[in-house]
Amino acid sequence: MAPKKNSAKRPQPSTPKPSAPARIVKVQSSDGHILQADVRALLLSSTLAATIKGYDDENKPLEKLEVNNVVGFTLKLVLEWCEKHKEDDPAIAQAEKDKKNIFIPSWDRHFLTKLPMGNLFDLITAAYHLDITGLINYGCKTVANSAKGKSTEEMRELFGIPEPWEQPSTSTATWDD
Amino acid sequence: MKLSKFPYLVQQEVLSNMASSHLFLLSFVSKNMKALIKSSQVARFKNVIHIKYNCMETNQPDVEVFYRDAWDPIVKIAEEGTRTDGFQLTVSGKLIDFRIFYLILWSSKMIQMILKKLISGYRFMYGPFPEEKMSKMFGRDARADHIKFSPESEFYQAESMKVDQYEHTIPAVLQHFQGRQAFIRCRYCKISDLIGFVNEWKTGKGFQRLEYLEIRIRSFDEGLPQNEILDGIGAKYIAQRNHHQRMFCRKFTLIIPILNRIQTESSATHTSLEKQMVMWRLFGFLGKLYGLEYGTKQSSSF
Repeated sequence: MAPKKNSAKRPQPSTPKPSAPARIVKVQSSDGHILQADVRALLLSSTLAATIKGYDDENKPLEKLEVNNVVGFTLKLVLEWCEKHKEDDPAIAQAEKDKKNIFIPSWDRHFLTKLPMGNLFDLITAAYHLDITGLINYGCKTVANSAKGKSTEEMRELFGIPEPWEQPSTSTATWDD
Repeated sequence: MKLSKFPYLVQQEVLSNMASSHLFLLSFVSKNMKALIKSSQVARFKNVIHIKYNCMETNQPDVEVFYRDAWDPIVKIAEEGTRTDGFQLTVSGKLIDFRIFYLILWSSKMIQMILKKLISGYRFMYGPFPEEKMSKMFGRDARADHIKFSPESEFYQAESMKVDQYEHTIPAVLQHFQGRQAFIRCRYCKISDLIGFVNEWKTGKGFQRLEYLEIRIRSFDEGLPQNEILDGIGAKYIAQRNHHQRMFCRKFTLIIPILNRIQTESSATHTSLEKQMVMWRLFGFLGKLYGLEYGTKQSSSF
């Protein structure tokens, strides 16, 4: 059968897990903002999941998680996304990443596209630091989609790539020549 | 947003989610962006099965890349249209009008300049492009029916080539081919050229690496001149009962269907090394098996 033009369809989620009672913990951003979140939402972050597991293994009370590399505004966005997806099967996000076959659901599309590019950038970077596969998938796909229909000059502006004559002539120049 | 500030894995993820055409266009933005695309998309490029250069029936050539389970258009060259959603890009010091996925062209000189730039980017991403010298890829008047590859073109160095042509004659595209397999479908075929090609091939004067040739002629207005072809290439009918007595090796296949009589089976096409007899199955001739004698022994391991 002839191959088809690149397109993506979202894998079907598995049967939803029965809801467990919410376990709320405090999360502190790098600039001191304290937010509250359901632990199930935080478990979407592999980084935070490891920390939470450490507390649980040692039977320590988990009162507050510190996220030192994400500012409050961005952390709020992260937690909003995680709260929305806390029932998701993490295997779906991983499968999508592995297959490069990412379909952005309508809620996520609206959530991500309404953000200014700068905020989206911060959100993806935070997702990367916190290792949230699904958010990285959707964020990167959103950025990639934003290049559709753009001219080279618009792409240059979109991705913050300076004109060649704006580049320093020293050896410390970045890849944005 | 500065893409360069993203962690490398995020940059890679973003680029991996872009269509080939967008990557292709993005590669023009900066040299280092081009380098990033190349280094971060190794897996994508390794997944390429083949690349299609479509120059048929239209003066709007296009290039598409086929992956294992999908395909992506890369670029299409078109005449100037009425659309106004274009943008300008400096190519070789000249300002050229572009349109997303379309290049608006006015002259052959501009075509050559644009293609030179495009192919430079293309080579960076996908490896050799089938034409080094752009001025030879397109004729001077830039019409599609004058598209031709130079004899030195890397196009001819591909191991396998599949060509779908409307009006061009078969030998024209095979003349400089150095690969092992060629699949050609055309609507018209100049019989004298075909005979000349086959004779050159079977006598070992040319196309010595060619091991498999499949030609499908989609239609022939006055019927396929079977006897002319058979006589011209020196084919001799081989009785069916003799087939099993030979140590056959798969070698050459020539499929010349008459109208809709197309068959794809090629297993009965072999070469007997001992007898130096090339066996041809000319499916257009009711599937009969023919032999072509030639003088030099084949060194092929087939």
